[in-house]
Amino acid sequence: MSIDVRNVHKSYAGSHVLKGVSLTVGTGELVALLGPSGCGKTTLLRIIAGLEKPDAGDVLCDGLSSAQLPPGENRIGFVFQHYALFQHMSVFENIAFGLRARPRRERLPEDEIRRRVNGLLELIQLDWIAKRLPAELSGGQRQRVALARALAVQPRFLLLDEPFGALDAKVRLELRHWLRERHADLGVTTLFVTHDQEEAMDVANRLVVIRDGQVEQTGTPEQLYATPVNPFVCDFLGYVNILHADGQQFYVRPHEIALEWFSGERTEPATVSAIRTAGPMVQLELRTPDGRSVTAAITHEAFQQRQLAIGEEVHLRPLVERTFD
Amino acid sequence: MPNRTITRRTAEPAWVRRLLIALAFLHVGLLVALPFASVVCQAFGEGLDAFRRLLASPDTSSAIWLTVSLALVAVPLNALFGLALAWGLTHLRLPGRRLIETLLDLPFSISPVVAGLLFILLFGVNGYLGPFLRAHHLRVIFAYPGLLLATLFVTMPFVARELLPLLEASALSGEEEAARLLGAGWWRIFWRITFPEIRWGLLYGTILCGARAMGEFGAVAVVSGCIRGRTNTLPLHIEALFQDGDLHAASAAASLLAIIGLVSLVCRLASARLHALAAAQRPPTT
Repeated sequence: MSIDVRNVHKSYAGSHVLKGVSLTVGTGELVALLGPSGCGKTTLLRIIAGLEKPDAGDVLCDGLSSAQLPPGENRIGFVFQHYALFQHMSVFENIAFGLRARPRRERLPEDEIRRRVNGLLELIQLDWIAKRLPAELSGGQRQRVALARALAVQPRFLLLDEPFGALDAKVRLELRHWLRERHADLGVTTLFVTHDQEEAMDVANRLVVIRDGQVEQTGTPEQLYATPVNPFVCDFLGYVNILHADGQQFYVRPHEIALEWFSGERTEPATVSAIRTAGPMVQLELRTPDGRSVTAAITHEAFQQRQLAIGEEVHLRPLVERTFD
Repeated sequence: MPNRTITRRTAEPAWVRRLLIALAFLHVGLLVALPFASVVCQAFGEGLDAFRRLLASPDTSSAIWLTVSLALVAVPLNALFGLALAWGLTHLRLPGRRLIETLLDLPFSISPVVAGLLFILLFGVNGYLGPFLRAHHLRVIFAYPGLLLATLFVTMPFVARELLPLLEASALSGEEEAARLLGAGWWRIFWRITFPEIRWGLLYGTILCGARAMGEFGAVAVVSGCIRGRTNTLPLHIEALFQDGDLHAASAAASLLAIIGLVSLVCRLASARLHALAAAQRPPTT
């Protein structure tokens, strides 16, 4: 149940969208394909699903080239960005579609189809709206119906294109956790596309960061957050400051900065320009003499002890050795 | 789909509004209502006699039958062809898609007389295929096949034009791809996913196509040869009656044709109403 993407290239109308992408998704993994808009991640997902053909390279699903199987026969569950629910069918018929679409001799008997669809409706906690049309559902409900529809055919793989992109912030958070739990229950090998690093780190076991049609780095959320291989990955995974000290550039997160009283080895001077105390950490906006702005985060206790005020001068020292020279 | 009327406050002064409304009514009245009424009045000028005389004439019944039989063949053919063409243009990556779409509008943009002439040049006695047809004793021009070709030509764009935007939207919605990934075959995707999206458009297009097929004059006039009782369609027959100076009979035949036009207009309105009702039963997609 693994997906193996090998050196895939794809061009559209002269622009090279994918430039030799390789990645693997192991059995039962939940992998996020993370990258900024227009980096080719949706195209890659469509190629894996068999909706597009790669110009070069190959996609192996369980060792079988996807080019050999027409889409629909390789049992891939796909959830579209805007769900693409069948507008003319009820929620029930949407979920049952894949089961009814099987060739006659493989098709399940009607009562078995009903049993299975009802089971899925319970799983997505929407059994009470089985008769409604997609247009009558909220965004979050549509999302879950789309997922149930993909799961109905018991797919070997699940591919999700920006699964939470069209939802508002609160629903997005709920569904994120719900998806992670369902993945833990069902163990379907899953690859999902997102441009939201927080979402990717929250949901996935492993991330593949992609930029401009190329894989930049692969690893667990912890690995990528702590040891990014280049400034792009570092910047993409979360807010990062650049400190200039000892002729080097240090890439540090807001909480990886120490505020020293005096200048010393590896410090850069800065003045406090704003203080925000609402939140789990105290956020300090600082300005360096050459005009760059730096954000530091310290605990409330540390802030109480330091008694910092706006306009005060401090010396910033990176707490981690993160340079890309 | 007809929308609910939106009433809004207008900035125009009252006299401008009244003038515009009066102009609109005058325009419709002078150009549409008055001529239509006068044709009906002429037709009933001798009571029902004109109609009785008209329908008793074998030439007229032959013209009616010819017109109906042309529509019965041309409309389904063009509906099928239009559907296939629109589907192909929106679902296959065809090279020269824009060119084909432009050519599709040709029957709208060139004069029907020229269209008729094209067929004469192709199938006529001195046409490119003339000798071949003569050698095989086939008649196209001045016969049913020619009339059918001319009718097909002028009514070709209606269904395809109506369906192109709908099929485009259907292809872009992702529903067809979703169905394909769920293992549905070509026919199931078309019948269960695509067709429900386009059925009303198909109906509108077909009604328009039918109205035009029965009303076409120019292209048909060129290829028909106007042989009474044989190749005269109803519009051509009206012209012939008029040339004979039989004004009552011409009017009666004209009102018959006008009624066909009215019926198709009513059909279109009724189907639009039904469509709106069907759409109202489910809330709008957000």
